[in-house]
Amino acid sequence: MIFSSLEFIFIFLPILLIIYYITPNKYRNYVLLFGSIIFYFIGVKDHPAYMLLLAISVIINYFIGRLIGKNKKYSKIMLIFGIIYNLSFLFVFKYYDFVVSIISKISTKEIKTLNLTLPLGISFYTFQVIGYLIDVYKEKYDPEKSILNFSTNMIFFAKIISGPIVQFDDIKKQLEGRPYKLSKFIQGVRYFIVGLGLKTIIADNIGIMWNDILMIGIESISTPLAWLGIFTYAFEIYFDFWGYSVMAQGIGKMFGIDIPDNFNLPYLSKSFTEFFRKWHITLGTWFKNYIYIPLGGNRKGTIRTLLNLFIVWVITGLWHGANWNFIIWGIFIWILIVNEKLWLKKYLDKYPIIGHIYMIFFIPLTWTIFNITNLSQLNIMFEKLFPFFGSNEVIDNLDFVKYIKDYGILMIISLICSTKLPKNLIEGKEYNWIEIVALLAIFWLSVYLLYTGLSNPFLYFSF
Amino acid sequence: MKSMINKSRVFIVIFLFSMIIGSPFVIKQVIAKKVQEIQSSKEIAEIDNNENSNDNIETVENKEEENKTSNSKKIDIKFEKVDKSYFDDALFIGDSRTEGISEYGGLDNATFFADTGSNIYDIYDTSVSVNNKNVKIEQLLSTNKYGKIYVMMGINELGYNLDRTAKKYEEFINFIKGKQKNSIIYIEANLHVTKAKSESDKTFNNQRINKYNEKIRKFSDNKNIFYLDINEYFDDEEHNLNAKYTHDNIHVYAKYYKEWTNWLKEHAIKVN
Repeated sequence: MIFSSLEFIFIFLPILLIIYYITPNKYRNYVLLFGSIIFYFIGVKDHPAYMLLLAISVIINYFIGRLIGKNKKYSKIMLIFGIIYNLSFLFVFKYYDFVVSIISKISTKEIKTLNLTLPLGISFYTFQVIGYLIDVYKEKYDPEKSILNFSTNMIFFAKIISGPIVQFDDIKKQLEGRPYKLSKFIQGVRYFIVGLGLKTIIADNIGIMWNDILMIGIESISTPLAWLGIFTYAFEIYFDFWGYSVMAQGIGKMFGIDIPDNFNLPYLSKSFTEFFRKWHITLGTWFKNYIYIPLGGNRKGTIRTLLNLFIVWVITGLWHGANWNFIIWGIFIWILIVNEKLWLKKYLDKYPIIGHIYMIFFIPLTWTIFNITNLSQLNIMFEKLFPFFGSNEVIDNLDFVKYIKDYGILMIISLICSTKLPKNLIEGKEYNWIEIVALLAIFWLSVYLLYTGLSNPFLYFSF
Repeated sequence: MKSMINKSRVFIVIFLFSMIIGSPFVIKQVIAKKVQEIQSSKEIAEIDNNENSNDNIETVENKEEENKTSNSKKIDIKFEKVDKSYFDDALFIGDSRTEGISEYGGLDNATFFADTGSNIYDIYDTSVSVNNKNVKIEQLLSTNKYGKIYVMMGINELGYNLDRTAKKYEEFINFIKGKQKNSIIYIEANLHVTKAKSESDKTFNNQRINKYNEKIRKFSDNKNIFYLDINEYFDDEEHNLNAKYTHDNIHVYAKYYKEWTNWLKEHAIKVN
């Protein structure tokens, strides 16, 4: 069940909210736990074993956390065991087949692939719980003693499927006690509505254009359409994930819980260094805290810094998907960031126009590498974008005209919404009539679009 | 401060009010969709059972059916090779796949009445732009004379009861026959989906597509109405759409529509 679905908005969420607010304060965490279990169960109904997998993971991690906190002598071993335990599941479900494909290219050994469906949310909850174990080991806070609170924290439905990857402590404190204000609930509704609109009205619709292009076949489109296409994909992935994250925050607030921001107007950045502090913020923070800084960060000289960055970016790429294009994506970003660090950034910052043009050019290109998994298709796409290198089997040289006609308005809306306009609407504390009408219109337009069945499942879902 | 707080309450009250009014309609639709999904799952399970029982029981009825279909096979369907001019007076009626043929198949002399989402239940109300004019199918069939009419619809109706849909299809064929007495009609089999799609989708899978194609095949008489099955060209060894031809598992890449129309050119019935 995804947030942008009629079942969630009109059945699951209202019922859960009613039960939640009828329940006396001290039992409300049970309602959250119960609701999260049902939510996850519906999500994995085709593979009910994954529910068991999650339950076992919760219990084991709970005990590991407590053991780390209890016994100083064995805490390091427990931590290593915990990390290996969690990563091994992620490896089996996500990376095993990829490794098998590499081995089969090197040796003649025939190993069968597993072809497993990813358990819902595994990339996100694995990282979150590893962060917890490391935090407890470093004595950042005490391990969670209540298994109720631990479970609720780990499987809270607002964030389990696709994040944000929240610091365990953040939610822990709020589960122990949170004030209930009508204003926060209303704020939650506001967040949810705008997030829903970003995803359903913009992302899902502009995604149709990108899907059309892929359906036609990259080798058959014209160069102008190829460029238009990668911009539409850049918009799709942004509004899809931003919309989802804002909906997650809205849901949290409706239950009295604050979840941190995941996006801060990344498309207004002037460099990739800046960009990745504003895009999927919670993931960047995770990598910084648990990999980059432990490796030494930038405190061990330039060469070591570049190496640390390389490791971080390759792993970041791989986290997004078990395929070569994701590794290439990570390395490509690394190359850009290294260049910025060494010489480019001061010009980008000093002359914002150059910075913006630089980003407008490179952002869609990086997302193209991110999206096209098949390397030969990716090659064809780049030949199409930069036609001085390859042959061109275009079927219709004017194919882009139809798309400008059909999607022009949507593209302009996307451009406008890449500015701080949506952020102002999300975070605004005022409710003047324009805003009230806008929020109602966004909500009901989104519902209408869902009703007529025009939406795509959330992009980051296979995580 | 106070007026702002009140305004936020105005908002939430209006919002909740609109939710209360709108919910029944939305929830009704959600439930209807779920019921339909369950029904088509049941239908699939039924089909599975019937297929299994047919393997074992050779009833008199089954034998007669077999003889009927093999008789129509025996009447030698003489497909002939034609060139592009054959399609000067051709009309193609269909959904997004037919749209693909119109955009990329290279038959700019033919007439196309195709739209994404076209289906046999709404076909009479569907308006499509033909030669820059919006027309409905009845208009088109009443004001023009076509020598051959190609029909491909079915994928959008896969969620419904297949017999009910087939009945509608039969009505539509008779409707065309009534309006175009001298034309031949090609009943085109619906294109398969890939193995990956077929194995993961309860509605859009080749079991259902095949079942439906079998049903509409029965309306061909090999005299004026012929059955064409493009799947023999695009299938892989397991009778699924070969994955190399498609990105989205349902439509072939644009460049393959030329091969599609070439196949049509080699499977034509010459009209006297």
